[in-house]
Amino acid sequence: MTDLWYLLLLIALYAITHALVVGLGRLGGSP
Amino acid sequence: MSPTLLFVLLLLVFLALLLLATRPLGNYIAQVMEGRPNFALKLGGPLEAALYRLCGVDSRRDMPWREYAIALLAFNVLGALIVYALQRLQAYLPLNPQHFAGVSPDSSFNTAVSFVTNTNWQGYAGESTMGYLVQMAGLAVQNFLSAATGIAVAIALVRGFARHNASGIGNFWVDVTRSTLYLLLPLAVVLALALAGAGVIQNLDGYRDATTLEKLTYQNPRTDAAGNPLKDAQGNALTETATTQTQTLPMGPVASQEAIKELGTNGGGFFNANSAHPFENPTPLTNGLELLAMFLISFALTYTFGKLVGDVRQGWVVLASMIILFVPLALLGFEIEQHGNPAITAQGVDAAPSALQAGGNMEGKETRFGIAASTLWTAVCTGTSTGAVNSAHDSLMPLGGFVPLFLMQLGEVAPGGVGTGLYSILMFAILGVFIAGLMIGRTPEYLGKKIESLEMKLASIFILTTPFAVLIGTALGVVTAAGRAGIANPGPHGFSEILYAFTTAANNNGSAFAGLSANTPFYNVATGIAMYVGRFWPIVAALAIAGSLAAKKRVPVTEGTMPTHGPLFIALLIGSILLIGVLTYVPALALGPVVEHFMLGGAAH
Repeated sequence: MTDLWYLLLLIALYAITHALVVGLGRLGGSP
Repeated sequence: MSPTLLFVLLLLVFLALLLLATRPLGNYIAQVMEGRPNFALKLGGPLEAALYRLCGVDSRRDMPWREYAIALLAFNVLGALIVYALQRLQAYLPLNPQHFAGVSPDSSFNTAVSFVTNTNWQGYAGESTMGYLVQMAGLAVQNFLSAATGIAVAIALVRGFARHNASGIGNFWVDVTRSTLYLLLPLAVVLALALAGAGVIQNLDGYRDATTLEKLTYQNPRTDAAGNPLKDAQGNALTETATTQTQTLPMGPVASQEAIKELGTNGGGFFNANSAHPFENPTPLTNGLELLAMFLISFALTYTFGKLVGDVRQGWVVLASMIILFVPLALLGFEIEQHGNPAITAQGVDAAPSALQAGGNMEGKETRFGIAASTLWTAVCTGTSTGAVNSAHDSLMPLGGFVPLFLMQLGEVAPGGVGTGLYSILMFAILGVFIAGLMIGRTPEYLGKKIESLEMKLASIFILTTPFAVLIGTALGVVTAAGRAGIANPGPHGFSEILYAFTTAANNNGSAFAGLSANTPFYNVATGIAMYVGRFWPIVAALAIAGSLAAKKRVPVTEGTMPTHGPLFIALLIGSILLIGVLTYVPALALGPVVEHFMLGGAAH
């Protein structure tokens, strides 16, 4: 269970950063 | 010869050797990263092509910035998952002659993020935690790949300036492969052989027990079940007396890891004592080689930058700014440590240098290196994002501790980590031309590209993310019981320990102030998040700027264009870096090393 918690944390950090890529892409409309 | 003169000579020789290598190595990096035919590409071409075929990579594909960023993020999170799994499963895996148990989940998370982000902060002691498979297949591999990631981002950003009306900024897979295959691997092989020849150990043996001639009595810190130090009512650490006549000599493949540890500005030591350990860094010669390795690629990349944007003067300006920031802080660190501790000299202790002693503050320093080579190392390992140490930073004088803290807080740009130093200082360059543009009332330009609203928003995200992670993290460390539990030295020094931990984590440096018991769930999670945010959020912003710049057309140079290849721009760039660094961190620094400095002065009287 503890492993699952840390793996989820890692995936969550990735997902937030991925969302940042998408968000910044929309911000500028750059290719 | 006075110690100061000796230090200045050491510094000059060090910089001169690096400057000799900057142009040829920078030229070589430009060639291999842009795929211009040379002997290395000819030699490694078949292997490179085979790797692409194996992984299904279309090496001719030019990626838009979002695709580049997502490839980078996915590659790195996959690396973190592998390092996590290797640590958790090491008890069942080969090459573990010490039969170490699996690493705890929180420490595995922290270490996985730490090595993937090029931070290499270590909450664990390598020789008592990690088997050889984890060291080699997990940590050393990430030493290469995290450095390659930094170089890839720097080159992608430079392409943003160099290209015009382009939709792509390069191919992430090609950039990572080429920087690993043609730059990091060959340099690491040569350095590893040199280090092994000079006395750094390299083997896969089990540890050896040696019986010492005398019985050793020492004070062992007492900890609770969670690993936190036990303290008395006054908050002082509790210890217990222990004796032993056996010394265990750790072994391992050290030279191969040591080489990339310095070249890739990683810094994670094979042993807990890092480069103060005689098996990692036995002599002044190995110390010199490791010092040079830390700066080598970051210096060369500035020339690569100039070469790729078609004006090598731009690269020299960036390098000059890095050196001008670095030298005074290195000198300050040396002078403070050589001056010694006033509270000790007030008691009649002779701290003057002589033929028989180094003088000054030798606490926490190795006698084989002395004050000059220790303080130069401290400045080099924090001016880059290396974080390897050859002395105990916790034992530096208060203002001696200010030097590495401030070098990191400037954003790791003097000269910074491999790739990270270059792309970080280019963000400050964008900020600098924007400020200059405001002053003269013109749309700012840099290297023929208009710096507009979008670039400034992205540069602001880049520059503010790291201070955000440092200051929020430090505040959490101070206000929570779990954060305060790790402090071994109450008062301003304890505050410095927490500030240092989050500064080193968010700036992806990795050096430790020690004194802080950081291998606890709170610090493993908090610094892990700081490392991830401090690494990848700025990278995303930098790649977004690269994409935006690459798509722009080049504007012609006119009489109104501010020149960015001369002393005025150097002053502007340094001013921007100092302005951000000082305004952001002075209050925190005042509560830590500055207060401690004045308290020490008061105690001496």
